[in-house]
Amino acid sequence: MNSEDVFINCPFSDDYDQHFKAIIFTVIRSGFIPRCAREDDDGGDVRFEKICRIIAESKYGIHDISKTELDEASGLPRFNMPFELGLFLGAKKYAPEQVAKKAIIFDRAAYRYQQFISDIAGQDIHAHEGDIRRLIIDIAAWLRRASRRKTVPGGQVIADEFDNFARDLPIMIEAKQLSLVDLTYADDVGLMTEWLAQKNQ
Amino acid sequence: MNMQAPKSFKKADSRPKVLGVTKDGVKILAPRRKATNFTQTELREAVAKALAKSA
Repeated sequence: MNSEDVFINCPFSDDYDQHFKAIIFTVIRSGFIPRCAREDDDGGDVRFEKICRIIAESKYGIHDISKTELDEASGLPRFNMPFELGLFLGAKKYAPEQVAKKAIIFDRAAYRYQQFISDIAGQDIHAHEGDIRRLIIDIAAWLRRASRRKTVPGGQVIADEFDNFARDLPIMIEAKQLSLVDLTYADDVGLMTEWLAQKNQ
Repeated sequence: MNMQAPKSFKKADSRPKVLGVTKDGVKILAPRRKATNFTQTELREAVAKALAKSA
């Protein structure tokens, strides 16, 4: 298990994309390495095995269950996020070498989780109300507290820097003749990491 | 019952490369996976260009 690795368990939908990118940015800016099921999109790995491997390698976990809702087309709930949350908590519970794992859980409203996954009561659960800035602030505060690293900056500073990164992003991809939808998760992580390494020196 | 994680998950901890240190002392660590559409040189140049433009 790596003490720098942070497993991100969140929706991969268009309407959550900026939230997802804000989480990745906050993790990198805080001195950690983001990990998620999207990091190897080569199809050569069974998804469940890949998720288990990444969870085993990550000391920290950020879980957002805010999109646990009925799909309009199928009428069925989207359940990958609660499932992966269960895997993470199960790893911490049953594997002695994983006991130091720490998790933060987000939903869109306080206590909504009690209606569909009440067994997680007592965990560190936050409501972001869909607000990206609030998500960044809560994650930065949690990483500072959970890791005991006093160097983790305040969320307001990170949120301002994320806005600046978003402003610079179109310029960064211009030379490659790419558009925002062409960028993969690995591209986003690479660009954010390099931007932060150069910007703050 | 043996509750140890399967051996396949027990990867040796790899020390991440530090790409830079911010003014407030945070180490910016190299990602675990390389970018898909950019080489490391292209990333560096693309960011340098954007920062020069927005300065």
